[in-house]
Amino acid sequence: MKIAPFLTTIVTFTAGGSALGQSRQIPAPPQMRPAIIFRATLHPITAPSIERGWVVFEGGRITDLGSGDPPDVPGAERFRAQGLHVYPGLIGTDTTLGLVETQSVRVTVDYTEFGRITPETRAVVAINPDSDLIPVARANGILTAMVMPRGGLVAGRSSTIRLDGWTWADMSIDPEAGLVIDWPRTDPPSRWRRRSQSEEEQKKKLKEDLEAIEHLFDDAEAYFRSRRSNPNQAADLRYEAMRDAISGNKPVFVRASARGQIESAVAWAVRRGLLIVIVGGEEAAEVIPLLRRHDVAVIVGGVHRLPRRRDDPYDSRYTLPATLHEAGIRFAIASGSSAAHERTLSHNAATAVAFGLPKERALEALTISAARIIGLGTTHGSIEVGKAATMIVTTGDPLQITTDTLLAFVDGRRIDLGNRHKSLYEKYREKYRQLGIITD
Amino acid sequence: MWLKRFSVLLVASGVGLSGPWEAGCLAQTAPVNGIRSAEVRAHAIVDATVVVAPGQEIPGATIVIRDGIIEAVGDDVAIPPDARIWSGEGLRVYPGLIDAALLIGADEPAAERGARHWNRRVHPEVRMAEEPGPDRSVREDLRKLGFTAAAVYPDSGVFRGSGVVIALADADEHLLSYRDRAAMAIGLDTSGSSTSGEYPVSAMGAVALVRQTLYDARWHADATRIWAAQPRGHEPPIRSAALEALASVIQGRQQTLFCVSDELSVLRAASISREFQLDAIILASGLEFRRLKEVAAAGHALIVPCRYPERPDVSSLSAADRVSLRQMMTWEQAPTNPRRLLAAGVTVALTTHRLEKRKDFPEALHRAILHGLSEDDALASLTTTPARLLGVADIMGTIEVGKVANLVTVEGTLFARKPKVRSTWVNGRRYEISRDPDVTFQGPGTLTTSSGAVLHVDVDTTKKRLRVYLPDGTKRKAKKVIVERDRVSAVLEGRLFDVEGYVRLQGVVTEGDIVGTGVMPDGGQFAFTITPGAPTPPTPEASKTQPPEASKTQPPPGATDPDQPAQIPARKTGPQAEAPTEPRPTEAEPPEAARDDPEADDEEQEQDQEAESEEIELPPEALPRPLGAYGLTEPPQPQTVAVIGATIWTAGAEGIITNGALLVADGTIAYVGPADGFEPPAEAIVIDGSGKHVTPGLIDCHSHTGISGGVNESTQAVTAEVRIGDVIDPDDINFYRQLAGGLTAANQLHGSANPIGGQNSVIKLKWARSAEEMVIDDAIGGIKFALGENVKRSQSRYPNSRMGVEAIIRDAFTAAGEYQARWQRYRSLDDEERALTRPPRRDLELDALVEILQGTRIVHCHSYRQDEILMLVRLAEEFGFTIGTFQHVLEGYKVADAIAAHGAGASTFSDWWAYKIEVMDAIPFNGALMNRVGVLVSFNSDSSELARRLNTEAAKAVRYGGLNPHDALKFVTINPATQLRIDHRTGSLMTGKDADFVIWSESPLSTYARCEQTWIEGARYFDLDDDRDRRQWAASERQRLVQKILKAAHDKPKDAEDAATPGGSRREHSPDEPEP
Repeated sequence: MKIAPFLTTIVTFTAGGSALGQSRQIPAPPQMRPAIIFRATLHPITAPSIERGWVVFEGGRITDLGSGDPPDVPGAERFRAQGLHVYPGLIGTDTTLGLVETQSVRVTVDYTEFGRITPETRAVVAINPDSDLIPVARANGILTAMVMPRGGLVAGRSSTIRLDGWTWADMSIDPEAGLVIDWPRTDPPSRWRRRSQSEEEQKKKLKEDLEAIEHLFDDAEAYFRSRRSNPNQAADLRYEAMRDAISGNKPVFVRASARGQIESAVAWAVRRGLLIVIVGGEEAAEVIPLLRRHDVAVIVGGVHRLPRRRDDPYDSRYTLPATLHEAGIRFAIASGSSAAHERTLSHNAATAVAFGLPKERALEALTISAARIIGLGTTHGSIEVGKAATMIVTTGDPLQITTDTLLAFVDGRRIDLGNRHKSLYEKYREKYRQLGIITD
Repeated sequence: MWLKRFSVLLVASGVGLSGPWEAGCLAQTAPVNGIRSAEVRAHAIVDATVVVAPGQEIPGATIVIRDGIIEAVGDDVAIPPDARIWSGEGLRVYPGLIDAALLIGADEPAAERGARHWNRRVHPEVRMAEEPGPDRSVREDLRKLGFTAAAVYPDSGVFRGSGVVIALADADEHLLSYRDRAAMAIGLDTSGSSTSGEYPVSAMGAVALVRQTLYDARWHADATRIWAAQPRGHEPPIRSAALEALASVIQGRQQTLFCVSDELSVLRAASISREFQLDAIILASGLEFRRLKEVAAAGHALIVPCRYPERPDVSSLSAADRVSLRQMMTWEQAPTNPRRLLAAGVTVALTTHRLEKRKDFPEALHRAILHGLSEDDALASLTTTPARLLGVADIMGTIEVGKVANLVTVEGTLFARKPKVRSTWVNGRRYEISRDPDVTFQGPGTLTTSSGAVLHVDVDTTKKRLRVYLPDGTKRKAKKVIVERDRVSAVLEGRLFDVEGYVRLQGVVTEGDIVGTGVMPDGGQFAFTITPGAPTPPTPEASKTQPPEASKTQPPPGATDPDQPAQIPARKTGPQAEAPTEPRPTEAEPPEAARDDPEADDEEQEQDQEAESEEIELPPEALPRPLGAYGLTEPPQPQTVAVIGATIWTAGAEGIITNGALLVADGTIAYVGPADGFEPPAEAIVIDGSGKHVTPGLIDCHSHTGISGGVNESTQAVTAEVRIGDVIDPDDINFYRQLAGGLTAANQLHGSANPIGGQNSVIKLKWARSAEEMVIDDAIGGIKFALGENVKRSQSRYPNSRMGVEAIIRDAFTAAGEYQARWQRYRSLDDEERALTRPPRRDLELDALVEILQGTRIVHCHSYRQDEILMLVRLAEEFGFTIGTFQHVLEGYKVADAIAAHGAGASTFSDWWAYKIEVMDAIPFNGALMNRVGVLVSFNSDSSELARRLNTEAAKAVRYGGLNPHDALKFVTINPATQLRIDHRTGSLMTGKDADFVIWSESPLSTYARCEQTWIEGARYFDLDDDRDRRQWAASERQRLVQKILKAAHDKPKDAEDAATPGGSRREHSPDEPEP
């Protein structure tokens, strides 16, 4: 089943790149000389696929692409990719990569700040570039990610990052990609939950939470007015952090699942003139007219989820992307998993294909659509001249589990696809070699 | 208190009964302090319609009661001259109702009493006969509904104690016990919180506790008997009030009453009863219709509550979203429960148990009757049936000579929505429940004041209503009307009298008028009279408030045509029904006359509408199982079917057969091989398999789907006695969802909270069948073990380290070995010796461990790190058994050689890692690498969601580690089957095996593959087309029910529902009333 890589360059690279016993990957240096991948099937995403295609990149950006015999690029590093495929790097739109190492160990979790309203926080500064989780995601073609704070009401600001670099600063693309809000739960109180909180308490809590969000934005606007005309107005980091969202320059990423949450959040954002993106959106199919009317994009929070309700069709979560597509709603597909399992991102999109989403749309939901929704539409998400040379070379369709990612470039830098798992695998293969149980 | 005035009764029972009911037994023993008060104990209820038993009515009958016993009944009965006579005219007399399960609090036995059971929920020694009994208010509430006797049980605990059947008398000294030792109440109560640390926290733990305690009782009885026979050489048996109290149960001398909370628990109780051959009745939940067939087959008599679920909230789309079809159907169907149970042949007694308010019982019963329960059945389930179940049928349940005089008299029928219960008789003592007012004023009237005002009013003192009609046809209600016997007072708006504020009236009904005094807001007083009949058309002088144009308007209801004579409301002053009369009841004025007002007002119209709306839309008769969406009225049946032309992944020696054929007959595989040359039999349904892939049904070696009441009995480090098999939930919708992902079998495991957890259950996903039918009965028993972080987390118990984990498992197996030896020694005794030797105590926990040692039960051990894996391998080898599977086993790749050499299987996650410290070294290559080293490997889900996609999990063994696709598929088919020892039946497509298979739209390892059909034992349990039909049915059924609920909510808002609760009058007894 596995398609063997054909090129000596690649073979040399894999052997050298994931040296045995290396538990940490070394960030790649900046692209110093041009490179060309050729004889590949090129999938630009924003244009039809190109058989026997080639792509040239230099200084971290794509400079040319075409089909047929590759051009002679002086001094270029050449990657012959016969039988292989080139795609833009996949984009994880809803991740906590770098903010968490071991879910159950609190000290390794950095995505939630004290307090319910903490817009002043931003994800990027807490990203651990040496996290073991990042190379694991990369090995499945995920090269760009949005990292979101979570919890409370206003969790903070998300950051978009490239998944390779010595420091978080190296990795940062947009440190303040948008404001993240966890929308209060608007569901009617459930009988089961009544045990811990009475129906009245739940309703009261919902009202308070909604009011807290309104007040925050009202207060921020008053603060901006005061700040403009009153030199003595003291600075408030929380409001300053909301400036881009309130001006509509940056999106507000609102985590909302239930129909009522989405309705309430969209109405709020439209009323305030905010650029809203729904994250999660489990019941987005129930509010299509509203989403369409206001052209609200949705980051689908994973496809591999159980239906929310007993009566829902078994595939209701599988078909959500197809439903959004048919309704003309812009959407990206996220993994819906913890950071450790971000690598299953493309499998989620694949299941959506099995349940009605055209394959091309599924790929877009992991690349160009995702890029546009998180503010990277002009630089990422497709193979186009002028865009970042952030690409993967695979043995086949990246939506198939059985497909391997053989090469990956981040801004033209060929990155190490090794990771903790491959290292441990190698280590223990050696054990069984020593025992004479295996020979390869 | 009036009851203190009773004096010793003298008596001569003409009937000549003997036994406890002999007159005189009820005599008070306390001395009378003052003048004695005589009580008449001979009564005759005359001219009544007597329902002597369900379906047997005697009109115009007389009942003679003497000293609490029915002395005579019939339509030709002489009334003894000494009897006090009660008119029964217009009344029906029923046998007094019996509540077969009145649960009340009882004190747990104090710990210092000694010999208490170690578990504080086990207190069978409690005897309700020795407890104070239900509060007077409870007794009174029940009497108002017509109940005269009840079986009283403790309301909490596992072994709760023995019940008592009592009379629902008012005086404590008359709380006679008809039966001192009724059934032993058993509940499946849990501590409900793992933090309390009290065993049991899970439903399966509660079942295990019941089971072990019954074995202990048996053992204790044996030990006691043997010690009695042979005290020499034996230590006396341990003292245990609990086990002693259970001796009668275990020996079949005392009935048991299982108190359960849902229909599945009815089946669990039935299964325990079977195991111990208990004589059991079950206090059910009221939801038995959801599993009617199984409940009926269990064959136990049920005591059934009439509490129905709240009407679901579908008032907004969001609210409706949260309500499942199952909830809506449960709401709609619940009132059919008694009728369905009876029709299915179940013995049913009804109870007020579970009702939030007891006074709602008549309404609930009425709803059951509207839903098809016959009145005779309803009566039987409240009289003869409970009498029989409680063993008191010889003394109550019917109105027969010699039986206790427990009666209820009702105007109309007992089964009306609001029955008019007039009196309840308990042991021949009459308790008045309600009576019509002595005097009434009903109908239109003219209110004339001494100040000259004339108002057109409408008064109904029986309804405490006074309304003033304005000339324009509108009306004003009096703010507050109080009626006390013949006294009436009311508050009216001042503007009716052209003043600000409120005008208060107070007067009496006398000679057909209401006469009294009024007070104006300024304190000025006036006299008023209300005379029957509307005033003649008022003139402006007559009423200053009347606008001149008013006469044009339509006359208000109640205003009469001036040409017609004014209607005079009837007065009722004669003797009331059942009022004592001497010597024969006089002809009472027909009370109907008073109510015979042809001019129905709004309220009455509303009531009429209510009455009309009682013609209910009957719910559908056929019920799907499980109830709700995707349930089936009939489970799928085996078919003869051939799939031809498909790519068949056999997971067996034939590998992948392209263009293959599969033939299924009688639930098993009849042929698997090339399609070339294959001819299906004529009767076979042929499925065109071209382009499709067929695999064996997928098998999940680690599932927690479909387990009721908690997956962890976490309270103790070793809980080998608990069994998942006791708590399978066949209604879990995730079974259906997993079928839709090609899953056909699963290993239902206990959780990983303790080193030695509970016993597993291996099932097939036979949706729409019972838990029993799902179980693969020839699978070897298994048990969950767990190592590492989870088991050492509890701060309050051992172990807290991986060192302790090894030690406690070692200790458990050491104990099991010794236990095994004890039994071997005992069994090797000859019969004579054995008869005189106390048997070892049967310990279900150690039994399970002994089975492991003997190799008849296999261990499925949750594990992560290589050290702990190796530890258990070595420990098992030391004790001479082989581990069945290591579960998760994420570092299995580090010690795969040891696992392979030991012979254990490995059931792992495909690619989970990093969620806790002990899985930081987990790698997705684990499965493939272990496989290469020679370990039998499966991929499992441990997740109700992931269990729907095990086929693509298998693909990860191709991606990570380079397995060939067919071998990878074995990770979710034949390998888990082998690990579970069910490979002789399922897991691969081979002739003779169960026909468990899946049809896929493409290669099962492709992420684009869809499961199109899932078959188990030759029956199609999932199919895309069937699924589409079921969705449509569910959607239309939802809409129907939402509409029905909205209509119900509109017809009868919640508030009104609460207010419209029936019940007797709240009048307290007062000394001047003719009470006994």
